[in-house]
Amino acid sequence: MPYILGFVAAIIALYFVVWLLVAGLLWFFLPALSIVLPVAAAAGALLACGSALLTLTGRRTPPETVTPDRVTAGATRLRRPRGNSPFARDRAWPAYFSAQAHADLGQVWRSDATLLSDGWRWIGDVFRRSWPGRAAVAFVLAPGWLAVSAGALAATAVIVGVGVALLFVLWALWAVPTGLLRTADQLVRRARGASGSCPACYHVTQLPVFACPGCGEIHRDVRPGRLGGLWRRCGCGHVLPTSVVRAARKIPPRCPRCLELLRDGAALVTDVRLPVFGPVSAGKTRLVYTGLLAVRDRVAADGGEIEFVDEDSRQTFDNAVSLLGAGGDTVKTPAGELPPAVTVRYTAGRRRALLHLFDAAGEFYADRDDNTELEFLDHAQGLVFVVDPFSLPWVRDQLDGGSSVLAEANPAAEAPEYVYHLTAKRLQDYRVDTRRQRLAVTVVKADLLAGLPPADDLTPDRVRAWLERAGLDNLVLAAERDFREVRYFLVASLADLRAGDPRSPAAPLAWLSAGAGLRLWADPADASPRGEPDKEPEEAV
Amino acid sequence: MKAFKALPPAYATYRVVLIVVVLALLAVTALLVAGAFPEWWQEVLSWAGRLRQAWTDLGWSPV
Repeated sequence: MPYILGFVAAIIALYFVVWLLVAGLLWFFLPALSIVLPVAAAAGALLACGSALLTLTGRRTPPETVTPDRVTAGATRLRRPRGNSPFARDRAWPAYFSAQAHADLGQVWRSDATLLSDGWRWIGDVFRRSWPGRAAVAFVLAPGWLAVSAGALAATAVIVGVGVALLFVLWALWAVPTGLLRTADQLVRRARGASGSCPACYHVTQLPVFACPGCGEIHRDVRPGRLGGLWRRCGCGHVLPTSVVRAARKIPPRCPRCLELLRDGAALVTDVRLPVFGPVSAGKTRLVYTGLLAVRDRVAADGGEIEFVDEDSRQTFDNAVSLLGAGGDTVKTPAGELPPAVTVRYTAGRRRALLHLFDAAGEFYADRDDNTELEFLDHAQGLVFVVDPFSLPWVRDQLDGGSSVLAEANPAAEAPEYVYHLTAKRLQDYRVDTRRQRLAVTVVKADLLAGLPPADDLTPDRVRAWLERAGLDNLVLAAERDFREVRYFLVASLADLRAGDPRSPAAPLAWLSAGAGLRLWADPADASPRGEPDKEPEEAV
Repeated sequence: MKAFKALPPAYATYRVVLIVVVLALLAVTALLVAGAFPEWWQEVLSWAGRLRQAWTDLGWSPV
């Protein structure tokens, strides 16, 4: 009986305990939760705002700064430069939207998440420590912190979302002028045919490099982009203009391969590169200097100007012209030495261009191994092939063996065909698309040939037929097969050629320049100087 | 402001923009709450008024 009474008492006690618990849950805990949870959520939202402000002002877990050193190390979200560039990105501060915006907003989110997870970790410790702690966690801490977490995460999501939206609008305002500048830069350079030719290594580039005026750091790609829209800030803090056209106006451009300074105006103006090739003693050097002299006079007659951009070119030209003026001959181009280009700047009104003439020693063209060094051939827009008529057996057979003209002509040793094929093969081996180039086949020494029997029917407009008759028909066929356009010139490389002489050495240079986008004068086929009436040359051939 | 030291000016500007975003969100939220629960807003105002009155009652004046 006492057991039954005890059991009944226990049941009643249990009933009261359960009733108290249910009543407490229904009348105290749930109403309390309905007030506490929204307040906790609001507190969470405030916590998130505070965390974001502290993060962005750098007072608590500041965002990692995307520094120029991290850019060069590739430790950023910036993509590697396109193409097979072996170089890392330049050491410059990236545009905010390229990397730092992501770092800032990401850190805002991470700071909030870290704060919340720290709270959950502490609650976990409390839970593991004791039974009262477990009860506190179950009824107070976990629901409260859950509400704080929900409020904080929601607020952080709103902050990040609004931040992303606003930054997107700002990015669009930044990206439009940046894209326009980049496109304009490219279009202007393409329209001008601008590029930079290295005077040291012959490398030709559309994208020269620039040394920071502040620290000397090399910037390899100054086009507007991820490292700066309208301006870029070097790692040293110096501000540089973006785009090649703007940068080249303020900072001397350099060769990306050897870092040598390019000539003044490189990468800004039309760049024309014309190698002159032919056998030893064919008359290449003489053609170059008399040609430049004639071009200078003809351009000056039209109100333009030809001037030298470097002292070496000026001195070499002056020496050669003084020798030619005194009736002498140009000095033999040193064999084994790669030639620097003779470079002149053409100016006519607003039109400007750089014209480079490459005159390597004939020995280079007579040897398969040697001609591999002539990298300027790879970047030529047109070529002058010099044919010495006195080196042709057909001509020599018609002249007296002891002719004084033959001695004066100092004929080339190698056959023109041999030199042509060797050079053409070299171009093909280096994958030069000769089908896009012009070739000026230039028969020189016309002044010496004049009046001699082999030149009876040789006139400037019948050079091709004359070459065929002289035994160079295979050369003519090969040249017309290999090149886009071939034109034949008869040239007398004389410094004092009379006005209107159709044998002007300027003619092949003007025609090739026109093919490269530089019209030296209105009709490039007409190289006769202006200002004086055309006269029939006394020794017309 | 540690976050603005040795940074390009543009970075600091954009961070200020983000800070303004956070403050603007807070302000907008406060206005919404005040619009939805005007009695809370009155409570806040009266509390501020009492605080100001208490400060005035202290009667502090510059020496």
